[in-house]
Amino acid sequence: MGKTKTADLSRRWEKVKKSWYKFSKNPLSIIGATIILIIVCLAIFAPFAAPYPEHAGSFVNFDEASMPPNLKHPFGTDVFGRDIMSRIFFGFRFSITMGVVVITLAAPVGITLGLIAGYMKGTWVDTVIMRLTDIFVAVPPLVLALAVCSILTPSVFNAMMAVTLMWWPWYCRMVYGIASSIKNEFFVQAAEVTGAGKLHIIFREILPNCYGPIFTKISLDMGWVILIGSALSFVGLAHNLQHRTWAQWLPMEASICLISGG
Amino acid sequence: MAERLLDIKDLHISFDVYGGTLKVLNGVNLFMYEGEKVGLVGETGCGKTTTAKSILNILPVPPARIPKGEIFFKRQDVLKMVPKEIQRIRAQGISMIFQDPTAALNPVFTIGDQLMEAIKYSSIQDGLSRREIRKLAIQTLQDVALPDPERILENYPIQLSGGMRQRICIAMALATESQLLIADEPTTSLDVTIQDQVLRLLGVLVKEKETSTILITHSLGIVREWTQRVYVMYAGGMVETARTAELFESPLHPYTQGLMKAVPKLTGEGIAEGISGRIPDYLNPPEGCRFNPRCPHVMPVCKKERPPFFNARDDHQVACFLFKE
Amino acid sequence: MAAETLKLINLKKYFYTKMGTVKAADGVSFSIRERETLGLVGESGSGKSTVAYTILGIYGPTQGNILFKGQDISRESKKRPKHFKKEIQIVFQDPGSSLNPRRSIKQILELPLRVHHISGNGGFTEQVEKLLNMVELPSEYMYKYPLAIGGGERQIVAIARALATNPSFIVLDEPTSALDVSVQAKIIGLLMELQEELNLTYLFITHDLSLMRNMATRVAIMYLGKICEIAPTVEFFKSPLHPYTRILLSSIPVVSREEEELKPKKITSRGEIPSPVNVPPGCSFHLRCPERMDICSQVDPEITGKEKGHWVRCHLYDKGL
Repeated sequence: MGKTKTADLSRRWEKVKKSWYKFSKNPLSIIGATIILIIVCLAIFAPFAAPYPEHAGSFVNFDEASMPPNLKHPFGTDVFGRDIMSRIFFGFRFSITMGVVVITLAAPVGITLGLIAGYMKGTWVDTVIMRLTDIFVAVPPLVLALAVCSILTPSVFNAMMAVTLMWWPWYCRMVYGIASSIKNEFFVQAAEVTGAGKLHIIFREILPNCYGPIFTKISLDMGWVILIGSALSFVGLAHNLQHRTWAQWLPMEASICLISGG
Repeated sequence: MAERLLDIKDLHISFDVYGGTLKVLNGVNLFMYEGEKVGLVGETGCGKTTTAKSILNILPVPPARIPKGEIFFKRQDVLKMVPKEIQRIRAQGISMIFQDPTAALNPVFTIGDQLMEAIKYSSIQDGLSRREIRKLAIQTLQDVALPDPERILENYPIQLSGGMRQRICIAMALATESQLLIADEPTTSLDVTIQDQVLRLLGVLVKEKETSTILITHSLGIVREWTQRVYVMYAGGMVETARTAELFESPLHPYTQGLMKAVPKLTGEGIAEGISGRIPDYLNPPEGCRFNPRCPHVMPVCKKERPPFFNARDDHQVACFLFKE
Repeated sequence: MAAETLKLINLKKYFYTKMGTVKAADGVSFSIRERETLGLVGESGSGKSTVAYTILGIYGPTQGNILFKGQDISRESKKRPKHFKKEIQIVFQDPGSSLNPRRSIKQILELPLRVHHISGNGGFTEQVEKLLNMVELPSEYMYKYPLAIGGGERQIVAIARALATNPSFIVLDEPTSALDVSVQAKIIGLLMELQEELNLTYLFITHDLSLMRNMATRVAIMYLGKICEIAPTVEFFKSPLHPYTRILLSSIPVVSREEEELKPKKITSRGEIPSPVNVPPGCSFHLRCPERMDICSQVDPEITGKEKGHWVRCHLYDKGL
């Protein structure tokens, strides 16, 4: 038994090495991966990485307010004298949480519904699911989020729920397209002929063939979700008084700029 | 001594992949004279398409690499040409028909668009007017025995059958008045009766236009009925070459003999075992003759040196130490 | 006389599309005995794959009956009792797409074992090893993925998959058409060995008549959904009767002069193969037939029989053979 376990592990390690080879062929992938790694580390270790961790919460120092980037404060300071760079590091936390939570909720729901609708294409199941998708897609995303957030009390959690609601249909549609074409492939028919159940076919035969587009979409979506989250923040619908996002003090800065004329 | 239209000398091609280099072509030698019909027969993975693509220089250069060898077309080395010269050769000198006509035709343009574009970019006299090009296109479609050419010009590829699509690819290749035609498995995806028709047509056209042709295929039967001279290829090198009738009368190389035995015959002798073993791993190909692990007549020298072509009979050469005299 | 494993009685499968009714299979009848190989030969549009899929239950028949070992199974596979899925298996044409590229060979071969709970004593892994041994592939192949092995070996895996449930009848849909000649020889050899060892009955679909000459017990030719001619192999090749059969035979590229002698004199086919949406009236072959008579464009011929089990559907033989 031990022998098969080590053989198993060495096979998996081979697969990892091969994937790394393919990934590292393109220098841009390495650069991108490094940037993301840095951001994630900064987010996790913000209290240690930020030069002025206490500036992340409430802190006031009007002597050093609104300074341009300098040696002490590489990104400058805001109206309250708080170091912007430190606040950005803490802000990473919110944004990444937002991206991860939304996609973790939206993607599986959308993918599952898309697989089911695609495999059962032509039946009433397909019609119901796709029309449901159509309904959600028809509403402009930000409007939907605003509606949800204003009905419920503004909070990070509700903002994430709102964004999730507008996000899942896109996964559903994408996977629907792929699944409905794959279901005609010989290997799916072979599984059906043998007597495999629908669950097996959907999740074990069709789904693995969708991974490529799914992961591409996830990586692109992260950016968009963060942007939408920031937009909601900007209009004040995502925050409660404890947490601050980047976009939070933009309205303040904006209005102060207008008033001071500079 | 007639001049050789195409002369490939000692061509080596390798590909960079995970885990090393695939040393695919291992010293390919092939030549042909004007007006000949030469067959290149070999099984999947032996390197025939790689050879064909290298003649037109359409191999993607990384990951492919050409460490050694020359390809002379009309006495000029294709591999050393600048892009502009290659462009001209592709437009006017050499044309190619690919295996899958559905993939070779763009589904979103009409046949007319594609055919006229091919003519426009290859016309020897530049500046043919659109009407002249259209007339030429209709003429080419008639040459390939397609009924109602005007209507076909307006059709999209998907509206036509496989045989018709391949005939259009042939029309496109021959409309350009090139001297060398490379046909890479042109009938593999067609039904047997249509295949017969298309090959017959190709034979007639090639004779009319005096185009030299290389027919690449894995079907020995087709090679026998269509070509004048044959090259048999295995694992990146030529193993035997002869006039067609001679080759089928007496195949000499053990690989060729194995292939002939494996073909099911109408005489009903049953099917032979096939050739034991499998094609070599190009990452670590065998030393010496690449066929040695599978050869029933293997000798010690076969594992050390690569055999060159030996003259076994009149106009019949075999790359095998059994024929070293 | 061996028992009849499969019998088709006037099987029809029509597809109703916007462009018209596609009569893919239009009245196909034949039977296959135990341990026989019936070669079903035809070109595109002949309906041979449709017949195969209807037997498997991928389609339900529009009309007609399918009897398997005497029992009527003329419906889609989901409406058939489960044990028929064990008995009747298929090897598809294109090994590239009949194996899921995202599943390992072990997973692919385990699926039929899991569905039918065939685990033997050592569990599924051991069963998979046994299957690989049966088809002479090394056990390490279990962990490979289909794209890492050659086309011939993929097809061998597909054969192993078909054998997993210990079937008695296997439909082989052009299993070697996409493969090289030496690989084909290996696979045909394997198939014939397995047929002996395991008492299998084959329906072998192909367009390669030379192959059928060496492998089939009987040969049937299909054209546009109907059977043109059916006879035991030796008889079939000795005297091919139907004009389409003669055209098919004369189009085959052969490698030796002896074979050349055996082919009917060069009869060139003319015209394209019509689509099964527009089946010509009367005899469906009359537009391309070099021996066409007036009656051929009006009346569809009936099947007539000769001794020795040789049947043909052609007006040339209306008055007996």
